[in-house]
Amino acid sequence: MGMQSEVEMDEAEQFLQLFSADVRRMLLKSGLHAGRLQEVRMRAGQPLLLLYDGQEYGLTRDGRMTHRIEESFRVTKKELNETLECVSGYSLYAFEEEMKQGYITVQGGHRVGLAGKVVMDGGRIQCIRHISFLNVRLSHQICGCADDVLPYLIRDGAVADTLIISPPRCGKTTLLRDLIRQISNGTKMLSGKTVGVVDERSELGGSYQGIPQNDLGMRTDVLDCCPKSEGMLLLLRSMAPQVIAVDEIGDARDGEAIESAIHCGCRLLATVHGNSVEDIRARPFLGNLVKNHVFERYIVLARGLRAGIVREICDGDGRRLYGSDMDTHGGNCAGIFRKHDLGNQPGRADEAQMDAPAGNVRDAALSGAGNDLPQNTAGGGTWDGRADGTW
Amino acid sequence: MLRYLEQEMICHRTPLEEALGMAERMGHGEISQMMHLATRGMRERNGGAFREIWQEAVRKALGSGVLEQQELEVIAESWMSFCNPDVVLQKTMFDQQIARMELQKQNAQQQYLEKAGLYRRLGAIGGAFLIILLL
Repeated sequence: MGMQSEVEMDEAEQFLQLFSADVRRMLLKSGLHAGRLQEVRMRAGQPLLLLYDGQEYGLTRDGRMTHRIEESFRVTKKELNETLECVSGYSLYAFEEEMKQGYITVQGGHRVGLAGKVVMDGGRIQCIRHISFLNVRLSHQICGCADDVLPYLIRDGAVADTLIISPPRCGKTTLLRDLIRQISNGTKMLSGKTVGVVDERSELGGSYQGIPQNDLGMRTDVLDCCPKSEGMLLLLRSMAPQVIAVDEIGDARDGEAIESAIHCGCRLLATVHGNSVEDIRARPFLGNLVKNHVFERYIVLARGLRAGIVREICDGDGRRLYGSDMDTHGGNCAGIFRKHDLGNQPGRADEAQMDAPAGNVRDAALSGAGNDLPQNTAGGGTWDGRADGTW
Repeated sequence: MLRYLEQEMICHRTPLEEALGMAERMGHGEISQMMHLATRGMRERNGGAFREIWQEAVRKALGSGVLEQQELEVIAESWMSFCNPDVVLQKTMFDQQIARMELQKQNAQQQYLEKAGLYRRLGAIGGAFLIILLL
């Protein structure tokens, strides 16, 4: 794998260890950059597929990445089982509970999705047997990806209650992770806060044996593998956090716990699947939180050719503080490399002028490897912002 | 040892590497050596299947010992109880494996008793023959 720094090398090494010997060899031969690899999909009897820089490739036996999927190496059941052994550290039984949710989180914070024959017991999933489909999703910690977003979340020296709205695989967890780190460590604009993280799926911290593998900051306490609703209340009672962070809220119990936390004077950072604030408003439980102005900021990420495109940032009243008039359902992805110039935005709130850093706001793309992306992959209408001279 | 590993793995959810390490410290002689080799093989993580790691460890630690081929095979096949992609099957494999081991043990004991009787009889005959010869 093509690698750069020592840290990246360690990460790549760790990542390679998740695969069977043959797949490992192929990945090594391919020379791909670990930082740009997003997913590896293995299906019994089907081609080995990679999601790399937002594009799907097949991987041939001789380690060549190709768009001609039919030339790709066909995954055998043996490869799958061996990979399953490797991802679980030869201890799949130890992940029995996590497997019921359809995935396991492994060392490094990577998530491995599983599918096969589901065994039910009394209407509940008892286990997954004959696992024949794997999706290894890489966790990429990108320090600094929240630099341009954080200033919008600061109000009177405190963090505003914030909801990050994003479709799957658009970088919400990565953004939340960096926000946690920066809020915990403190920045020039914000003194460090005690942050409590309820990491139900071990994705934020990527905890391994209780120790976060990702940097979540020096004032962060992590409650690993704990249900969000219980975890938020537990943290409030035990760790006195100034800010609570949770990933992927969704059900009624989460909503109740959020209200409890906010009424205790605690600030909240949360993420949710969705396309827009309107999407969230239409949901039964989360909609009430929006209508009750529980959140003071909404960050909406867009689905694009790469993760981490901030489409807009709104305040609790829905006024846009930052963003563009892009198709709200992600149809206009050609604009992903475009700089979202705050000054040109209609409906921009004056409040944003106070909170936002001086000067133009840069494209808040999260991907640290963004500059390595081939600029011609964005399709028609793509425009390299740097050529404009405004970056 | 199998019961101990079963308890550690299935009840306490101890990762296999750690459980085998504990078994290594508990056991002695060739068994300890076998656990050590298996743990080392897992730690190196070259991407091989656990079956290969375990069978290699069994071969190296017990191959030149007193065990018969059939007994070695039973131990070599016990990898299915330790590392199985099917968690449900793994639990039943433990019971099966323990039952097989028990059977092996009973056979060995029976063989020992039969052989002991035979040697006793041979000894008695030999002694009687020697006395007759001396007389």
